[in-house]
Amino acid sequence: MKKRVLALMLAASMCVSLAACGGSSTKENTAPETPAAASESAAAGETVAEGEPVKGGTLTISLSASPSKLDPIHYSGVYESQIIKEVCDTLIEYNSDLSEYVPCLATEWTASDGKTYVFKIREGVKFQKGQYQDGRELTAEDVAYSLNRSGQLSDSNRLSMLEKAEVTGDYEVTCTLKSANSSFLTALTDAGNAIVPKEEVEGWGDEFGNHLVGTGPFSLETFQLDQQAVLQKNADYWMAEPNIDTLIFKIITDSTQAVNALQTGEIDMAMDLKGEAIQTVRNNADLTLLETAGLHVAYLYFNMEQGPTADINVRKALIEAVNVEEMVASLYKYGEAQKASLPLPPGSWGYDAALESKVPGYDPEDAKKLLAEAGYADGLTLDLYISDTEARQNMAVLLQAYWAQVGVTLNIHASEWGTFSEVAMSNNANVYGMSWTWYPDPYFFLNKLFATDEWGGIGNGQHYSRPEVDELLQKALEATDQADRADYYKQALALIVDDLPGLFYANENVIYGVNSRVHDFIQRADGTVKIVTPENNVWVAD
Amino acid sequence: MADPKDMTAKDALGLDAQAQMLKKERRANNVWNKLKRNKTAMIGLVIVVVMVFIAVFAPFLAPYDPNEIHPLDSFIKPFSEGHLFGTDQFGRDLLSRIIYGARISLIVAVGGTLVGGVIGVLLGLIAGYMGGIVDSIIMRIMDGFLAFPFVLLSIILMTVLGEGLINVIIAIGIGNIPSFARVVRGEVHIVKNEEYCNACRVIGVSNVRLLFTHILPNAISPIIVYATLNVASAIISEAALSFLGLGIPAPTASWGSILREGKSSLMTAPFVATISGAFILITVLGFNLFGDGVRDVLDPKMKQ
Repeated sequence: MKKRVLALMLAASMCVSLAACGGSSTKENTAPETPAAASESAAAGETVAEGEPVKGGTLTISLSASPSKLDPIHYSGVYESQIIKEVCDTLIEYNSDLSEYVPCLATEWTASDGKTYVFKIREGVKFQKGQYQDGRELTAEDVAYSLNRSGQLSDSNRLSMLEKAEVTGDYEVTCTLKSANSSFLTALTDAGNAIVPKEEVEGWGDEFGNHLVGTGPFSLETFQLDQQAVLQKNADYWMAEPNIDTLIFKIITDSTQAVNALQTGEIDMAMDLKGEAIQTVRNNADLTLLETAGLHVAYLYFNMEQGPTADINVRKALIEAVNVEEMVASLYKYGEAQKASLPLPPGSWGYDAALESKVPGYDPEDAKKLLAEAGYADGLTLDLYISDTEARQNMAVLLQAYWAQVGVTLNIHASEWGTFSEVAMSNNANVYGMSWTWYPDPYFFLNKLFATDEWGGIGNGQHYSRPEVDELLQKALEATDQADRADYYKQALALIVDDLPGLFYANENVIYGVNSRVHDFIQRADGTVKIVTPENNVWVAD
Repeated sequence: MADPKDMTAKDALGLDAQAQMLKKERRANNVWNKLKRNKTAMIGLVIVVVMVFIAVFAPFLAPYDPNEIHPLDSFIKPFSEGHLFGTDQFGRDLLSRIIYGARISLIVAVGGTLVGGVIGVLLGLIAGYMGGIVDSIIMRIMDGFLAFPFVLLSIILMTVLGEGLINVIIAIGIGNIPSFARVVRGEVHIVKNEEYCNACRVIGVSNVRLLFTHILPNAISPIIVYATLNVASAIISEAALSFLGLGIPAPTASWGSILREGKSSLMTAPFVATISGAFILITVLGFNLFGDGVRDVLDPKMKQ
């Protein structure tokens, strides 16, 4: 599965990935592809499909961060998953509004006892030609090989629930899980669990990521680190022949630069726009702004174990000291986000609006009182760690000013993602600022952020732990009916909200600027760019 | 009446000392008078004095607390009532931030120059005076430093040292050491073989004394010129580091950090970056004009 966190970086919609480290209990977060948010928001982000599709042409898309590892088991960020998902296919997929699974390399699947899944593999699918195989047909062995590889080796534990995948027929694979886990199918849609040919993986070894081969609509022609990835269409793609000949992902990290490139025609689509770049797109009649509510939560969270913030009254005071509405209005001047209150985005099916009122509102007087009662009448000094993205830094400046009003001195420590994640995973500070984005399945938020066995991961670096919550989260994983699962998650969420583990302030939108020559593109709440799906096949007019 | 021929050695020394003092005074007056006649140098001096005044009296001059936020009053235009320079993205008064920013920028620039100057001068004196292997070792290390682009060196230092005022001063100071050392070493090479130095050595003056009481004072002119001009480049260095987010931690304002914040709102509120940039420009210009003027006066080769 993918996990991603978007941490700070993401301010944007995309997520960043992180790295995490694999290993023991760490996990990364990555944000990505997940999607969910579907329902309400997705419809907004489409470009017109009218007219006769034109074959050929080049589509250039900017990525807001630089992908480095394209081997599915090593990828950590959303940017990487964008490329992997064009080159490779997964067994199943989400539809564009992330509301249901649709067949991809698996044509159908059945689940029994929550632990065993049987997949029928699509026949006649061919791999792209590579150095070590000549475009041969995809077999059940490839599927079992890829899933087992991810289950055992994924840096980010994207398929850690898998016990084993076995070939049980010519075109049939049976997966056995370690224990019932309802997030398994969602995990299969992740780029980290894409199906790859064994010869190529073993032939290239550590270099496989730079020569990625799969069954997807585009094949990787060149990959230049920190510059661009050039993909050529796979004319034999099983789903449909892509309309576009060449797909280029160009790395442009600065929003303003990305919009400039969009205006000059250097790129056709700019991802993860922020701030005034959004207004620039709105003001330009040749450009379209696509905006979809993301499955995203930006938040700050407290050390639950040590220091002043281990005291729930201090946490309450700190939350009450912040005027969240004003803060969100100031941080997102172009409406790039909505005010949030819970650790789940409203697009997730575990969301419970009734819990919003349990979050303490803005009340600096009460905050001062609580701090005085907790023994900090003379003030308090806290350390905040964030990644050095503009969105997080701006948040930190506002937070510093709000807290100063109740006598709290905040030292801001902004560093690049790697350093930040190390501190955040080891719980060495008082307060952290980050964001999280993933699938609509609440598992990818609540388990990752609040389960005791996620201690040491980037999600639960704060060391939140409550046995009742762990129990409810486990029950939710074992239940198979979504309504039952939602019910467990809502109960867990209610307990979590009572503990005030953090201040969840915004849900950021997924925002792209698109040139009007791009047709039939559908934006997804998980931020994944899909060029060819059962629902659309992007084309460009010249 | 004493015949001059009967003058004792002691008398001669006394007269000589008097003459030297007079000469010094005359020279100082001479420098100041010449400087006064140099219009551009005076413009530079006025700018420098004004900026120093602003920095020193910031708390009395600033109309608001520079860190007080009013998120709903962001990007008020300049010349609005109550906000001469308008407000930034968090609704903080820009004039107050510029005024307080002057403090940081000048402290860092002067501090960085002092740190680099003191260490660089010492190294340059030693290298120039000792010569030989000591000279080679010191100057090759300095060349190594110079081989690094200044900004890169400062970024490395800031990453290692962490944020903070003192650390910025140290980072910029270290970056300044090699050029000071070079300037001083060259001067020492010229001065150390002068007659009076040889005379000192002959009568047994210690090396340390010779260096600091005879060689250094005679090599001081180029150091002063270089230091003045260096303050200007240190202001730019500080702005560059702050612009890259490696300077003074938030919310403290420096001109570079205001510029950085203004960068993300160039279309909606161009004044934030423009005003902070203009202050950097004017101040740097001030130090450069003044430094040029001082050089014109002190450097014998520049005399018309």
